[in-house]
Amino acid sequence: MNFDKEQKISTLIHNNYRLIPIISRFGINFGFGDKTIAQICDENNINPFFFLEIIKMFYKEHYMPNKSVMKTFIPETIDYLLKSHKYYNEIKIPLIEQLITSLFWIETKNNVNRNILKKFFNEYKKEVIEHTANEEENIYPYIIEIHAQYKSNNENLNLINKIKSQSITNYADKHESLNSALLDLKNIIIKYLPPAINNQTAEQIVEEIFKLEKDMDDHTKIEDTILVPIIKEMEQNILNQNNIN
Amino acid sequence: MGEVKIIIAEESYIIREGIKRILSGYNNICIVKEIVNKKNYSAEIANCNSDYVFINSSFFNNSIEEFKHNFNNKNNLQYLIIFNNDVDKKTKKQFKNIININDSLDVIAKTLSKITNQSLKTEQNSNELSLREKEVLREVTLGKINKEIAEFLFISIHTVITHRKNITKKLGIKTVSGLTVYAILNNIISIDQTK
Repeated sequence: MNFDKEQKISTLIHNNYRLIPIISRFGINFGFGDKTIAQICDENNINPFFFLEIIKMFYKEHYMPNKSVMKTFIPETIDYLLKSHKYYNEIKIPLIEQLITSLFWIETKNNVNRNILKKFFNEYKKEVIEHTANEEENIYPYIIEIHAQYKSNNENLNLINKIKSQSITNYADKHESLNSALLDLKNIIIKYLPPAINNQTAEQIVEEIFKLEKDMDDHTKIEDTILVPIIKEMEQNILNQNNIN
Repeated sequence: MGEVKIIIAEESYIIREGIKRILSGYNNICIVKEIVNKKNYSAEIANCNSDYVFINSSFFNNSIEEFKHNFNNKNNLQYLIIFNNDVDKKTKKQFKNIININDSLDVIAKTLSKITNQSLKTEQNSNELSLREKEVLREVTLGKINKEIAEFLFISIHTVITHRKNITKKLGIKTVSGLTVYAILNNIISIDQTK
């Protein structure tokens, strides 16, 4: 499988169906015929190098996007992350929620199994909303600001103070607890709940959770192993320019 | 087979704790009472609803006559006699279930498995929670912090943390809300007890 601009986008999908939600996050919809990555990117105003880095990351288990390439695509990366948030909060989580609501068991008092699952999932959902909202309101705007400052040479005392007080290194990582909740939910359904009457729905839920988990893992990888080190470097650079250590 | 309710009548602290430790390898055992001295012991046994009594032979001075006189098969209770010394064959025949404190674990496990209808599960091969772990799990899901659990169960905070690690390892569940779901599904707490 060649990962270059001349690859057909349909070939990508045939080789790995998990790319479907990724390409739609770039605004690419089905019906693309035999168009290549270069053509599709051109039509949708996407940088093909950035697109390929993201695709490769999802495609290959241990692929790490090139840091110097990613450094030139900070706003694009943020835009991509925002779209993934939207996908989690508006599509995937409501879908799983809806599937849980349709589960049913025979002879259980007041649907107790469904209710406790719903309660558990609601807590998870709330946590995801809080987490993504914090990133969207605080972390991402800060990253954009650092990136803009890095490119300009104007003095910005306000930002320097921000770097000192809330450097990206303080970006408290709460991804782990979000991940644990998904893991727990899988085990609860696979191992501990009695089989539901509509067991196919339970299977579907577990499958959806596996997919969401992988998607979020890659999302976290972009944030923790790519964005954070790049921004840290930029912060240091800004401080150095202003003769501050 | 469901839960087996057990009374332990044993004066020696070490033997009592040893028996409890072995019993924790069975998940259907529930110790409902511990009798630690001979005073009024037969009334105490009669007043407590149980299936089995584990009793040291010193309680009836090793005398079969005294044993029969005291118990005379009240309430369909069954007995397991704990002997501090080797027992002769004649005495052995008089009782259905015997353990001797010098017995090896294999021999004791064989006897206990007849009572519990289960085989002994050592920690290495079982993902089932021990009674103690269930107690810790219960307190965790009721929202208590480690310090409170330690005080409540009379164990150290360190022990609470070890139990919690083992619970997570055995169940594959990490978050408190996940553990709560497990506890409700397994009747360790009721849904009304959760906030």
